[in-house]
Amino acid sequence: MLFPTVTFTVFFLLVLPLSWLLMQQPGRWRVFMVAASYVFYGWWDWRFCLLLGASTLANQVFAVAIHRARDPARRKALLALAVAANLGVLGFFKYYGFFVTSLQNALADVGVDVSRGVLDVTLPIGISFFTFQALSYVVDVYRGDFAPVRLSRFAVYLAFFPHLVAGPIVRAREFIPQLGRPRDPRKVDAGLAAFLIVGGLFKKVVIANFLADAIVDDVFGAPEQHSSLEVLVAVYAYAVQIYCDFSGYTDIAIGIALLLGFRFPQNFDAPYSAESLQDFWRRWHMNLYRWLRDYLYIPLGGSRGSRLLTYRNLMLTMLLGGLWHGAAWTFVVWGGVLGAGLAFERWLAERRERLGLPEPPSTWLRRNARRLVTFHVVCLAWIFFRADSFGTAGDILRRLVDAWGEPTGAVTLGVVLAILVGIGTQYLPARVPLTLMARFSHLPPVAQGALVGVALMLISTLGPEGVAPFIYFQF
Amino acid sequence: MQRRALPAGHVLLIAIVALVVGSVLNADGLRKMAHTQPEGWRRDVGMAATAPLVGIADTLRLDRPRAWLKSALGRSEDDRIATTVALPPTSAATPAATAPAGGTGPVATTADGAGTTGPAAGDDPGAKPVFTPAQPMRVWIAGDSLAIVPGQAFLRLVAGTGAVEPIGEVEGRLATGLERPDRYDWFTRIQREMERQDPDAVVLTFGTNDFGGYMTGLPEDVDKTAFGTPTWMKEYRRRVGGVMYLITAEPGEQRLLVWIGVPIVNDEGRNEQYKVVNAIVRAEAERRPGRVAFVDTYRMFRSKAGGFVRQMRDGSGRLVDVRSPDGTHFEPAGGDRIAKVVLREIEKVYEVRSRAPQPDPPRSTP
Repeated sequence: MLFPTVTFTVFFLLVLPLSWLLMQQPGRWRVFMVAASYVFYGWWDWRFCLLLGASTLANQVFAVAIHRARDPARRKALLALAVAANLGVLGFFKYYGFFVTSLQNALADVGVDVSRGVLDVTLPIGISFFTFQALSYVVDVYRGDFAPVRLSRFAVYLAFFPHLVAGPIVRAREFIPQLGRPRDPRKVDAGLAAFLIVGGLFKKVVIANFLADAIVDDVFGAPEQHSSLEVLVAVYAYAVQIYCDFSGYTDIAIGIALLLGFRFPQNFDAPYSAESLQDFWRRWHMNLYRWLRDYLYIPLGGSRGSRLLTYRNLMLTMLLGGLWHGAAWTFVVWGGVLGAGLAFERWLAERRERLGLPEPPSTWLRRNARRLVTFHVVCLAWIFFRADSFGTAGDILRRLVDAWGEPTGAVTLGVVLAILVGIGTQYLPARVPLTLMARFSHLPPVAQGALVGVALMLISTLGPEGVAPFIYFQF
Repeated sequence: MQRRALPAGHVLLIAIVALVVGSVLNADGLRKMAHTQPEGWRRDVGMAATAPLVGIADTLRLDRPRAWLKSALGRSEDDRIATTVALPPTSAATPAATAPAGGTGPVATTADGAGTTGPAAGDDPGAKPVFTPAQPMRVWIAGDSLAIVPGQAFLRLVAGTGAVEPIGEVEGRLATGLERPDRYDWFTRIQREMERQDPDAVVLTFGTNDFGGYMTGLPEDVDKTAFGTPTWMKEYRRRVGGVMYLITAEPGEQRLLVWIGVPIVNDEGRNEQYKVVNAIVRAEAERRPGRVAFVDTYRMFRSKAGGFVRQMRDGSGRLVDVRSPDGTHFEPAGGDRIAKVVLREIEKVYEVRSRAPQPDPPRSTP
């Protein structure tokens, strides 16, 4: 079920009151919530539930076995088995066709013909997200940071429908303790939830879908038919589209979880106001960044080794982070561009330190220049992320320079406004939304409901027709 | 001022009030959403639920804000539910026997195995209209969502010639077709586009969503009909022929239509239905040689064993994805294949040149 649909609305109107009614009976609540989450997930394809169920059981078995094992070698072996099993399943569903095809084509390039049909594997929705969550649970148990919990609690953690299909990637130690603490039904942060849900819907339906329809899909579909200005604006538009699409989804997910009494960690923090790529990764898909840092970058050695090893670890983490997004080399290049950027930033900082140079003064001009540069490096990477092939990416880059002066019909006032709103709101002082939320929360409930109803009307009216899936569903 | 937390009961009240207010203010949109559902209990429940909403909204004029906003955005037709199929009465007549420039011809099968109908090769090129960068061929590409990837592929293919000018962007509308004008009224849209833009060529694709059997906009003397019945076939044929007429047979029109057929999909049940749809379109195209070409993507995307495949070999022998994971839509490589066939069909009737034709050199006198 997609969030902005009638079906989900009916589903949630049933789940919300039942969840609070059962809250004082934790055992029954967990059974109910697991069942509701499986209904949510199975709505796409009931077979996905088998995979989710198997992942839940297997990872719980691994976690308990690791916890009980006293011999370090045995613990390590069990961890290796758990990681291999999880990544193996993920790899099969997500990358089997990609690697087999790549291998066949590589062999064909050197004259070896391996003509074999490639098995058509359906990618279960959300598999990247719940696999990473399961891994975080098992690894945290291995490290001694977390003790395994009852199967029912782990099952709720893994299947919890607000974050099941597209994150945010919530770690076990962030969520499971909340299951043990009773949520107070008298204190629901409805003001924040309403802002997140309505704001998320606006970002997704009005801005992201509009930009996709109005310019991004057409320009990336046929770059040679568009002028340089159209291509440039389409790249900016995609940067805003993917931000609004993904952050819109996670805002809705966080808001829904709040209504059910749970707090998810923030996933986006005005990423296009970042002053460096390092800063960008502390603001964009924050949960994935922390997961990669804690479970990949640091175990690889992080920055503890030599300079070259540090750069290697950075690049590997970013390349694999790119591959996580999808089975295409363009995603790997996306990760590579950002990894190279991060490595370069690090080199610059180390060089300054070696030469004994002081930090440059943090002036308004310098800060905004850094923001501009960072934003454009990120946009360069987005070209590879969005393009369906290197050929298209190359066409986009070429078209950025060789078609100035041609007609610019696709750059409309609506497109420009949507881009300005998408980026401009990231520069709003935090006190503005906080003040609005506070004032909203003090209104009578009926007034709050009426305002939300009007907002829903505006979103429905302004957005294009139809319900486009969220971009991150494909990951 | 701190945010105020509320009891769960108040939260439920807020949600219910929001939904009621939002539903009344969006009554027309919800009504259309319900109307366009496939036949079944969901549609019945939706229609029953939205009827009182529309009544309340209309009485209290609470539907006006949405209407005003839609009008301000130039989308006042969004909530309109087309209940009739607007086709000129003469569209039902047999098309004229004479073909335009480009000649007549039987069904031709292209080298890649795609069956097409259209003028046979070897027509006198001197009879073809010529398009150049100075006078480009104006083409409109539209249809259901399967129009998007091949349409964009076609625009990429012809971008280098400078002799093809697309009218707007590729207009692919999700979940639409000729069976349900209530979802989107393509008949009115096509008629308006032909009047306003007068394209030289049109590339269309419909049919992927025309298998539900629940046909709306039926003539007054026709009762409900199920897919594949003689009544359904007759009415669908009328609609397909009507669209072809609107584009190619109106008096004074010299316009080529290339109709991209429905491809094989990853669902045997739907494939049987698509064969019916394709047969109707092919038959209507064959009645209009030289004006309408049918691109048989069903055959083009079959495996050697006759089944669905997601991957095929491209020109350099590499395996590429031609169909998307949903088993229906095309990947760019699949769009490229179709684009080449579409261009081939256009070049049977029109001459598309990158440079303007040079005048003949003066004859030397002895």
